[in-house]
Amino acid sequence: MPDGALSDLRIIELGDFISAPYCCKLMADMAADVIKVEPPGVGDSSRRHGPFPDDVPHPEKSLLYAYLNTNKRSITLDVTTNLGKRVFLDLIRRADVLVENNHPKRMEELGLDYKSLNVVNPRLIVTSITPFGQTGPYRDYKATDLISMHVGGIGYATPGEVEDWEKQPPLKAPGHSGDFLAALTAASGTMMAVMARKFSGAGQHVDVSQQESLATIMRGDTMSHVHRGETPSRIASMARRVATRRPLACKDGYFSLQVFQDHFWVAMKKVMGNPDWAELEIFTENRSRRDNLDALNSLLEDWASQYTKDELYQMLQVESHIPYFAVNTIPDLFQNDHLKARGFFVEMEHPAIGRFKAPGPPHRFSKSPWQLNSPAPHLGEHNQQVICGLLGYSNDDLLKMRGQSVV
Amino acid sequence: MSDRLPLEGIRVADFTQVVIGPYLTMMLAEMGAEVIKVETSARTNLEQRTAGTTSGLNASKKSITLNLKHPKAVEIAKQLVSVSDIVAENFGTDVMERLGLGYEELKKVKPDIVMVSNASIGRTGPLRHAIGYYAEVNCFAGFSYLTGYRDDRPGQVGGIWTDHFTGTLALYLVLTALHYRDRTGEGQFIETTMSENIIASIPEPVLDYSVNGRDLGPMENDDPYMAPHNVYRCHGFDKWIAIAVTSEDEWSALCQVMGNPAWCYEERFNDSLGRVNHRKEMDALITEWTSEHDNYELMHILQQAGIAAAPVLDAAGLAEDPHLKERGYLVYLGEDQGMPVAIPKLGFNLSDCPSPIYRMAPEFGEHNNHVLSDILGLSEAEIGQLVEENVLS
Repeated sequence: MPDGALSDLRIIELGDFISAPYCCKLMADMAADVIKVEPPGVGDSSRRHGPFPDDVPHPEKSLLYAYLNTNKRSITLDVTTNLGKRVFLDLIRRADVLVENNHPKRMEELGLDYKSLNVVNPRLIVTSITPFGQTGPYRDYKATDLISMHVGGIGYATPGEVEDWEKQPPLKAPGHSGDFLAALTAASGTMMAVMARKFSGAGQHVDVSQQESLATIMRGDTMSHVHRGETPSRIASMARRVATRRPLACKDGYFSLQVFQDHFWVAMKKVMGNPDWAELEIFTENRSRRDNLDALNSLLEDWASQYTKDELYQMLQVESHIPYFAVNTIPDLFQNDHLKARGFFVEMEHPAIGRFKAPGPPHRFSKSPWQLNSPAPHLGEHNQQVICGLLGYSNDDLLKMRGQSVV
Repeated sequence: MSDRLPLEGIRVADFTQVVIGPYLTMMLAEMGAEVIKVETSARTNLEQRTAGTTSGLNASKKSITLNLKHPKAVEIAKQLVSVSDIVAENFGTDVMERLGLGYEELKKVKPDIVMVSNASIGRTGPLRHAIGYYAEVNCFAGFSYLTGYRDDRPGQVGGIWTDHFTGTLALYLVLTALHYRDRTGEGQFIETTMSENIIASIPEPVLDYSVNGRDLGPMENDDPYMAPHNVYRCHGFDKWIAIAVTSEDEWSALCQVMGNPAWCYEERFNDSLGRVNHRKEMDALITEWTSEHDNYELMHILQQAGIAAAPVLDAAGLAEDPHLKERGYLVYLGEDQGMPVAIPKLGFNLSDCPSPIYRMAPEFGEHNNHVLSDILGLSEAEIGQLVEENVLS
């Protein structure tokens, strides 16, 4: 079996739901030793979050939990108790990284803030994922993926231009995408700290703000406001609008294409049979096509309405190399020949759920590829292995901890 | 406080263009890597290059110009790779190979090179030569299908979501590969695919279909278990606040803050299931209250009461928000040069690290002499010859 890229790192996960777990999944999938610490009895809240097979909720059958927690070990620990905290600190002493997504105040209350942990293990890297970061006026404010998405500027520009602003509110992106983005930011920040530790020998605190992770995406619109005093609006009638490129309609569905760049535009005009409107001055430049996107889209849609998605694909993408894809539904993804050929969906085998198809890794490494070594653990599955085996507590100690609900 | 940035001493041969590639290499440069951007007039719209967004994606880099159609330019590119740690590219499939700069070739000049190649929908498979930018990729990946109002046409997520989302993943992957190289001496080839990264980020609808055969379509701002969970109109033109109530305690607190209107105590809103099932009516009633208030004022009131809430911010909001300002969200560059550009800071703060390098994007070919002579050891005469033969354009 190929060696894992991160097999020399031990990572403790003290988090909940998506952002800390997905960050740690990315590292577990690259062979890091990830020990997930869950509250006794209830576990990670994603265990109570579907989808569930046949809609029957069961803490060992959440498909979301199963997806986010592959390759990890699970222990249960109540870190609010003195004994639980002691065990946790024993774990920290033997770890390279702690990834957590708790409220900053909560970590302070628990005595698990960065300063305290640094004393216990000066080499420890602590990655904290929070809605607003560890500093600033909103540091102690609460947020969820919905809130972060909107206060991070994405919601305003989603789903794009609206005709009736009162009836068409700003929307978050699908699923819990903001949590996934925060996880990616955290994973890269963590590895930066790992790089730094090679020459400093010391850990540090990696502070990830979900709001900032999202706000970085709005760089174009923000610059428009700052430099040109033009604040892009989501209202269709306004002069300067958000640049969101909405899909266009054709005979049997929806699609997107890009004809800003000159060579794509020239090819497009040819496909359409060089209509007169294509020579209008407002469409002659890259910049002007962007600025007059409404008008352009309207005319493109008129033309496209006579063709199906497949016909357009053939004419535009295949024959003329114009960027074009049709809108796939979620069911479409499972029928898609390209995804099938790439083997993107992989078979997961889980002791409680059975076999099911899930998205594979979003990357390919030639030497140290993603490995699926173990399915998501059941709650506290590795208590014995970690608390006794790794930390050296006796079986009797573990029994006592269970008795006191510390574990 | 450490006096060294994490990537000091790392050199990147940067063949990227447009958004995702430059975004990745810019983050490497900001954390101390020496990023040498290889450009050519054949592929560069020089007017566009100085535009805000482009210069905002190429901060902190060096620039050399190489006409890669010329065999001598390819040789120089290889020489550059031979003294680099990372190669980054996001051309169409097979472009680097056709230029003679594919991974197999580059391994010959630098066996432990880490090469990252980003594709829209994959370097293999029947669609490997298809071209798509972020909006097309989102359509392919089922993301646009899930974005929009129910019973309406598919929409699109705001901003160039996909490139930033995958650029951040690519940053993590490159660092992981560097770590592996440090331990084993081995480089490798990394492929990132934007469409697959998107699909991997929406497991709930994907697994619901995979296992249960169900497709719920777009969910707008809704949550399957919690309500209130939406944006609500506030006082003023197109002003909104996002509110998420995640427990019964928070629901009680919200009722209190709203002044305990009678409707709050109707049985249908008494538990989370009832509130989810009657969310349309409930949201309309909540709006009666929120629409009297300023969204920022409401955020503070609700947060004081322990409820998650924040205003919906547009670009002006992002630039002016007091918290983002204090956090230094925007870095202002180029005011002295008369070419001001405000770029967002990196998404992570490291506590024991000097400030990241935020520096104006380089001029086109600004570092030709420096790279060719100081790094690659070419003589003035040799460089002159290259200029004459149109290799450096």
